[in-house]
Amino acid sequence: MSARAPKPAAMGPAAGSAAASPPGGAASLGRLDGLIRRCAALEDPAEQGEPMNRLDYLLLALATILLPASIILIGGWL
Amino acid sequence: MSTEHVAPRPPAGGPHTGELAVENGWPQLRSERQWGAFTVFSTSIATAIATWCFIIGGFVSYYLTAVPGTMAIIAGSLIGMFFIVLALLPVCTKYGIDSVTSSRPQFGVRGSLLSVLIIFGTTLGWNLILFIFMGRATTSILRGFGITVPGWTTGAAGVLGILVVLAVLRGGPHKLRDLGPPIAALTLVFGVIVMVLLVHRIGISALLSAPAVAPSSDSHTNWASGLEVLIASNLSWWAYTGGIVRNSPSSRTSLWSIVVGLGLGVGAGSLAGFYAGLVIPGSGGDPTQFLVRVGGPAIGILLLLFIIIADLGTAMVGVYAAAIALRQVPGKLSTWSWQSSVVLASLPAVVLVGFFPDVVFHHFSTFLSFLGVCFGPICGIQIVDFFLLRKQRLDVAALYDFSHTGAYRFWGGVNPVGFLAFAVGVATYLYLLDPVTYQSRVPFPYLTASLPAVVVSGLAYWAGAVLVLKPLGTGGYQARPIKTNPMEQ
Repeated sequence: MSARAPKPAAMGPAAGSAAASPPGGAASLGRLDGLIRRCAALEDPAEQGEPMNRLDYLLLALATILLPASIILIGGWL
Repeated sequence: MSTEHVAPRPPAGGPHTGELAVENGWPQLRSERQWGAFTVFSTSIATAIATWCFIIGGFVSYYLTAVPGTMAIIAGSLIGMFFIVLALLPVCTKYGIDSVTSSRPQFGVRGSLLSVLIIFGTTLGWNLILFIFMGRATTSILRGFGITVPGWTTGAAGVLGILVVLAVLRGGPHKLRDLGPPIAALTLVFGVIVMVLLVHRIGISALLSAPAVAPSSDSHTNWASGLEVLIASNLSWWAYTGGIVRNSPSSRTSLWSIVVGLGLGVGAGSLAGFYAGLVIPGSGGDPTQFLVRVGGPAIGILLLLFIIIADLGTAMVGVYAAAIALRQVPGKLSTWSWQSSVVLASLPAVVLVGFFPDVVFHHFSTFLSFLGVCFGPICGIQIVDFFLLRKQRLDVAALYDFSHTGAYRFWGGVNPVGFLAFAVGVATYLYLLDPVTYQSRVPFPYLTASLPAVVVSGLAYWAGAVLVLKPLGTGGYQARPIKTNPMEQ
């Protein structure tokens, strides 16, 4: 995490939110800080979603490629 | 892994930012995500099964008879989900982001406005159809009871549906999680009853002997057309899937929830429209009037309940996805309150449903084809980029970094390679299949149009990234330390 001061103008949606929040100060900076912190936290694999493993990809290919291909072949043969 | 109830930990994003992250499309931390397999599945089912299934199935009845048509609907649904899963599930679940944000590494932080427009257009279009269908069903069922209703009843009933959705979503995105399971359960129960009634009234033998409505002379073209309708329809889940799976902490638990819920959900739902299209001349897949005519008031009320519950459940997810997409637009829109975003996402629907329901409804076929044209290429580009070029790793902070040093800024925030690959994919589709007339060219009868569009756009993006982006050192493809602060220069 950078120690530099945030530059709201650098951010799109988040910057807009910060600039337009009514009191402008602490609340908007808090929101920006929330985005920054969650971006940093997501570099930790423990905060990332659980990925699919090889077996999942294999089963996905079987269910959505091999099975439909078989259905099409059988349907064409019928 | 059981993920239905994730024990809350202190939020790394700061206190009270969890709901903000959901509303603003910010990345959600794993510890904040509350949706387990059941919630993802029930939301998927509630989204998938709606009266659009009647229309989708009705299209297939133009080309195929009962047995091959049933097979094509199931096969097409599954094939479409293969690309949706690969394009969105790994990346959206890994980082807790929605479909628009997941497209920033391919189109650029500002170029992802294309995704916003497509999602907004898609969800608006689908919702228009659903609300108008709900209004038409209300009108026809009231008339079936012998009640005289004025012509504006269709629009008024549709607008009433929109207001119900607005009232529910005003409470926040978490309403989806709360209402998904009961809506899904009711939709499934009513859906099964409608299907059983339909098959019972039609009769199996009449169904099996019914010819296709307007088949081509070439059997391969008929099969490809039937498959294409379902593949294109399921590719349209691109607009909804990111918004659903980002709330789940695990790709593994979401995988079969969306393949079965979204993919087979729309496939199974389309069978009712398909069978109705085959045996009820001129119905176009809509069994409503037929069932009311042969079944009487009791079945009419049952049908109306099914249509209202199914369509409202789907429309809620559509408005939610559109609102999230709108809040990704840099500038004023992103500063609006959640309630205002939801109203903005619904406003065009109020006007179009209220005043032009017939015009909108009769252009559905063009709209459906448009979906396949756009989403196939996007899926191809995202799959190649995430798996082959970026090795399943994104710079999360750069997804929100609009500064000159942002990894996904490319040129002025836009990646021309992504847009070119998208255009090549769209052109491939349009060469193979005219989305308005459904006139096709070889190799459409053997490959459909969506599948080549996915492959060609993916290849075009890969070539552009290797030959242009990487040598120029733009797009975050070069090895460099990942920033954790999106504003760090």
